[in-house]
Amino acid sequence: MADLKPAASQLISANALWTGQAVFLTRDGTWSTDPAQAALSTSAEDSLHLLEMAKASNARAEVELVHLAAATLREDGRPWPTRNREYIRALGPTVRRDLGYQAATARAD
Amino acid sequence: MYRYDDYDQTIVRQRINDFRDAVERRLSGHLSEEEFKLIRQMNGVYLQLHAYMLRVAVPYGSLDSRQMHKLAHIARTYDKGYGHFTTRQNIQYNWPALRDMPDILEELAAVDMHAIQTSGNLIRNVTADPYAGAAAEELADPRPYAELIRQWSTLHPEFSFLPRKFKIAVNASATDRAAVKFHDIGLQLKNDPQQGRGFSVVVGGGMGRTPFVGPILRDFVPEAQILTYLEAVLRSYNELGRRDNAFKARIKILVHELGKEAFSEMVEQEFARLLPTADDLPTVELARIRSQFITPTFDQLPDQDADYEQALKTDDAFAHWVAVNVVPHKQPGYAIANISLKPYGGIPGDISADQMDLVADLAQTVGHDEIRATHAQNLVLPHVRKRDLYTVWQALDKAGLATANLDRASDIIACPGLDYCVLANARSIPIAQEISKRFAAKGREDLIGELKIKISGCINACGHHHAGHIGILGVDRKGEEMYQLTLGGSGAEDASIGQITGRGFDEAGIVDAVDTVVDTYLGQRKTDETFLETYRRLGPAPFKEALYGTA
Amino acid sequence: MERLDLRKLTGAHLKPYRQMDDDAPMPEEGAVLVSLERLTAESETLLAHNYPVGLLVPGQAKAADLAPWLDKVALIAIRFEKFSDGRGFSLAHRLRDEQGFGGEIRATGHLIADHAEFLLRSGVTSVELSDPLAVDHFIKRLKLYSLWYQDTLDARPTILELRHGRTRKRLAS
Repeated sequence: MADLKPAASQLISANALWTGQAVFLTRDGTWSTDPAQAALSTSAEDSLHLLEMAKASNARAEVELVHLAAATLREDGRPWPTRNREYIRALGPTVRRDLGYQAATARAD
Repeated sequence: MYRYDDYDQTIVRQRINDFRDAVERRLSGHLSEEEFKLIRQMNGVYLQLHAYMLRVAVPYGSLDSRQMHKLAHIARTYDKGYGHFTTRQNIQYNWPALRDMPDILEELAAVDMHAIQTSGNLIRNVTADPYAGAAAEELADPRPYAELIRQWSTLHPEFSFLPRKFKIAVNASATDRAAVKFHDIGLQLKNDPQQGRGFSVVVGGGMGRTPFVGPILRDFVPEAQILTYLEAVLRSYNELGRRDNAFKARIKILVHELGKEAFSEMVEQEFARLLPTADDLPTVELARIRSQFITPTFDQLPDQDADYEQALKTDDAFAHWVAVNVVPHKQPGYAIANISLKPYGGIPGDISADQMDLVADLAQTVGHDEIRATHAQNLVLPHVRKRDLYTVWQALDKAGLATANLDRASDIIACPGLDYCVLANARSIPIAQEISKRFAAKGREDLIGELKIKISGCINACGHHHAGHIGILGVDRKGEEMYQLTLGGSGAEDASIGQITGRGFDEAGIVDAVDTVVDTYLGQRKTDETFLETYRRLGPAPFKEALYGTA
Repeated sequence: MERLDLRKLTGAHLKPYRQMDDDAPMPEEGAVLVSLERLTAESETLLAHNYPVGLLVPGQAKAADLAPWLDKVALIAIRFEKFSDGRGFSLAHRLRDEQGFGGEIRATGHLIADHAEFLLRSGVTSVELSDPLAVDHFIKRLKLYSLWYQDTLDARPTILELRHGRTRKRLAS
């Protein structure tokens, strides 16, 4: 996974240590399994600030694989990752729509 | 089948306790993320895009019904109801939680299984010919050697922190079904008129960023000395393999950079030093292991069976499956039945818990309780009476496991790719699915004959694309998934590395490109010529022209 | 720094050694560790001292290069630069098996408890650890394993010996 440089319009993601689930950092420093709840950085400094919070969480052995992910605002004003890898992490395998976070949405449909 | 004794069992149990302890140390902050990563990997635990992944070792691809039922149970209880057979005869689960891992490992231990050394920079699961003990032409069963090497390499004090992973394969037939020339060490069993049984040893084959067909480092090592020779190779590699760059750390690079002769000299010197004090116990142990791999008590049967012949005549679908998926057995009246895990449009290597149970039941009732996993991500019932084949096929067919496509265009090897894997640059599975659907729709797989298509989602080449007759490599080009095409590779005894055709294709384009390549082959082939033979006769030119037009 | 004897599971009896830079003046007393370069250059004065002198080498050192000093130094310390770099295991093995070194081999550097049992079975006899808790983790791990498939370089039996009820014989004889 190529590391991104901190910039505006990013979110912080990681995997929860205990479950392995993909998680996304919220503005108050907690982790959510929903990228729409994530904090979208407003600047490189903001990304760095969020990254520091995430690294502190890693140091507390709560998450692994902390990284930045490019993101944008959806139509509903919530953030969503843009790159393929993060997009797939946010939803689940594209070849198994019944698995991962997308499964809940699929059932609701 | 090999059964653990108390010693084997104790080793596995102690390792589980050790892993529990490592998890504790990570949770309490005494292991850093980087340290814990290496330790969990040594125990088969990866962290992927969506979750942890547990890779369970299936040593030399051999399973019995009890073990397969257990794999099904684990899939249901701790995962999402399925598993994925890999290109190294292992099975992996894509969704287990770390907190469940020790319990899963305990479940495995109860049926003489483990996940030890299925990842990490150490000697990985030893692979072998999936037709071992059943193939008509084999010199001897390769599995006792593989088991001896499994034990020797398990928790090896000196070789557990190697520069990079280390893969060993054992083959004992003239036909290479273990891809020995693409392994860090490939052992090919042979008989020497003077020295008896031993191995020709290939060292430094591999795929990845720098693919090599491995050279033969030593033409003959007597079987009694094989562990000593492996020790000499591993020590030389541990000391001299590059540690400055993970992409250059495999033994193939060391052999290439030093030159085969210089490396061989080094190994010979160490081998000569070790031999005078080498231990004779491995030979004694080999005899013990061999006694556990006794051939099943086969029924004495005529080679032909009237009911079977009748079914072949009356049921075309069955006859087709037999023609494609069933191969000759050494015992009269028996056959080797290949179970394809490549349904048209399906995910290569995936199998549901219910399907696992069915395969286990078939093995138990009509398969002398043996199952094999192949490096092509399929399963095998190695010992089936011909008279039972029709029953077997009917049961498989009902469960969606009777696709008749062994070694055909839709029998595609694919890594998990970007749908699961943290290293991938592009998705592999959807490409495999689309190509498979295309061939299924055109209904010309029989016309095409043997064709091995292999897809990797990154340069690590877990999908063995270098060794594909047609190989596909997924790359990321500025955020877009693109696919490079290679032609003319082979992972068999005539091993070769595929050549890149030219610029890559997008997701839709790559499926058309494969179609174009196959059309070109069909137009150019001589009678009975396989794709690979035609490609080797003609070279890349006509294929490139068909793909890109004349420059 | 904490020390642990991997067999006795205590470090109380182990001498501390001070690591000396190549240009640092020698202390009046206390045991020291010096590099192979320094030992080679200053062997006469160093070995004439009345305090123990140990040799500190990186994992990639060649056992044969150390051979001339093995009967002259008090111990060999192998430094692990990074926990994932396993060259030190082969060096320890060679010092025992190839060079017949019978003295103390001490591992230092980036060690984790997961090395413990592998170190012991490769011929390392003691470790130097920065964290007292790490000592507990090492001890726990050493107690955890009671069996192994491979030759141990000491009198402890392997699984093959236990399984076949006899000690190993030389293949050549």
